[in-house]
Amino acid sequence: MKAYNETLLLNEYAQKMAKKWHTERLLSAEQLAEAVQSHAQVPYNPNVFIKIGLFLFGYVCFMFGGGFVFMIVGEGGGFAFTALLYGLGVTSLLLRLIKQKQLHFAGVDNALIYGIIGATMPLIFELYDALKINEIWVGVLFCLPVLVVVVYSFGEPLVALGAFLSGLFILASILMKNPIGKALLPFALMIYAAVFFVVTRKMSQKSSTFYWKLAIYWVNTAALVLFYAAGNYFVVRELNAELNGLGSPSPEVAFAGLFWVFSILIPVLYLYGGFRWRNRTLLLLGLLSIVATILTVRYYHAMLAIEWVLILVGVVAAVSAFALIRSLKTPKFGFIYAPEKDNDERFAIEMVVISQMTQNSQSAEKGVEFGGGDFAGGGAEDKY
Amino acid sequence: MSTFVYMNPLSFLLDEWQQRHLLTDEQRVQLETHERTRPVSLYILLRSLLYAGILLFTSGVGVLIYNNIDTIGHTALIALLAVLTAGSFFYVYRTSVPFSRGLIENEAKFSDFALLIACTLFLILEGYVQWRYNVFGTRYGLATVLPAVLFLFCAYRFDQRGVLSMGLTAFASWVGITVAPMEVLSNNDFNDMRLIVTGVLLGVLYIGVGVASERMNVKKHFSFTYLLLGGNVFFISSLAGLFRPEGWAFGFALLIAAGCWLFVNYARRSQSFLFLLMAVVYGYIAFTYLLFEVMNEALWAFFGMFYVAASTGGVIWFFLNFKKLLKVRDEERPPLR
Repeated sequence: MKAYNETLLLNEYAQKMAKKWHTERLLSAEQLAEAVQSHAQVPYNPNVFIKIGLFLFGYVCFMFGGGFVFMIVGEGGGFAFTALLYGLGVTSLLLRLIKQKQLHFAGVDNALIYGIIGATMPLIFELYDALKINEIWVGVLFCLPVLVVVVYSFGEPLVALGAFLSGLFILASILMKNPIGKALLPFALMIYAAVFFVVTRKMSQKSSTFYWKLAIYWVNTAALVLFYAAGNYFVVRELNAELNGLGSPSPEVAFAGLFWVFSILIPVLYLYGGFRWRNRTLLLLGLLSIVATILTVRYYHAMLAIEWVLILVGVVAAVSAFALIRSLKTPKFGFIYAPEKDNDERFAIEMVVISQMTQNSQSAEKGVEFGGGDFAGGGAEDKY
Repeated sequence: MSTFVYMNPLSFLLDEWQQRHLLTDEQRVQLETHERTRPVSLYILLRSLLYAGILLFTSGVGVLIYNNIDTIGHTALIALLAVLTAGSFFYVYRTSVPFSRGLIENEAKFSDFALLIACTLFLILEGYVQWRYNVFGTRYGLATVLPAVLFLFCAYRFDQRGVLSMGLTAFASWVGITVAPMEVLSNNDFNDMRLIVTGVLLGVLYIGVGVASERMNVKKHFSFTYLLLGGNVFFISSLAGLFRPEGWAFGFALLIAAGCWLFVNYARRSQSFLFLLMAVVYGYIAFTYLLFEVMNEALWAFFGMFYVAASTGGVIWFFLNFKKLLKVRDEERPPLR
């Protein structure tokens, strides 16, 4: 059962597109009015700060409400049973709230969804305890149906990510039971990631999966991250040493050459994919995985002193960014450099970062030895 | 329905509009190709790449210099820093446009950024000179107020919000307060009543300037920075004062109430709901604290749980209905001018 009204979500999409096309002068004012009118009902979509408030207070309300219920009812039918009942009660409340207030990921519903999942956990723990099997993955396997049901009915992205990671954990745990499985672990994880990537990509192109759009996007991105990480030489080698208790320095792994090829080829693949499909997520992941690959290379073959690596990478990044900013003033290859709408979130983040930097350099000034100080404080300057 | 399954949301929507005769056939094709070939903006990606590149480069140079300081010598380094600082300021000056009371649209893409670099370099240079030659001696006040004045001037002259936050942070550390939002709590010693009062006064000053700049139409778009930095330090200092045993709780409670009222009103007017969130969170903490202070201890062991659950429920209800309650106009945010 879908908890949110799908029509409202489609209406939201329709209105968004209509407004966009109107500002681009592709739709007349009458057409816009007609489109808005025929898609009049949209979900309540508050400002992001209101969402944060709703999430915080929703979470506290859920916790203390639970405490209150336990105080009144006591642990009559056992802790797990009462928790489950409370979870069910909150679920029916949530469904009514969603219907009445036309919520869709407005913060409070997200908080309650996480809370409800949490409320089912005591029962699963008891079941797991009663079975007396000391395999954590079995416990995770018990949780999986809950997560899948929630993802199906709510399409909540974080829960979808949790389900994806649970599946990953179960697969890895089973494979680690025998030596052959252990040896094949990286390949199995890459296949797991690839399957999820392909499936979510196919799904995202259909309108029947519109309801789960955000969840699909999150899992798709997570699959890409996993695909690179599972093939990365550093991850494979260090995890191999860790899992087999081989200590440090970690010994060379089998198929080392293959993993080096993965480490170098996958970023290129991502960048190419990002370019071909005009996909910003892939471009960003491509850039990040290049950084990861450089770090991997440097970890095992310290060819250059760190400062020269920084200077080199910095120059390449800055110069290419500068050149692209210049040349993309007019659209090329389906890309453009055009300012996006400023909003409060960006101002707030920018302000926090800048204020923090100023504070740091000023406290460095007050007698503390200067010198390498500018290196330490800089980490968070990204504008995301 | 079977075709429905294989279509993307865009074609689905356009189909629907076509059937309702909202679109002509040509327009439908036009919209579909437009959407398929719309150029993707790499604004944030490229800007971040540029920032990251410059950051990495300067870090690398920093380490290089640090390792070779004996051969380079401090004086040469200070001279280099000074030249760089002056150069950046000169670039900013050259590309600047005349002062205006409103938001300035500067065509030079990197001017904003150069000013930020210039100011950061100035801070580093000043720290370096002080460490090496002890120029300011023990007059730390002068050393901190100098950048504050410079940054505030630059912020207004060149219309740079980032430099405004730098100036406000520097000014705050001149009076002895940390306003950097992540460190307001950890870096200020709120056991000291004098610091609390300073924090409240500083907050009031910033909020006052923020509100005034909006009212008097001088750099209206700066009020966000003023209110955010000032509001945070104001509310946190007032709360610290409220929690102190000196018995001035009533006064601080009044202050917080006034602050909440102001922020709610501001949020309503400017559609900047970060301030509504601040007012509600800080106000809620203060109110709850006062209630628990006043109430009988035996009672709140039982009542407490219920109170928190019910009151947070109330706040949720408020957030879900604030547009109606506060009569917020349901429209796009007015441009910052």
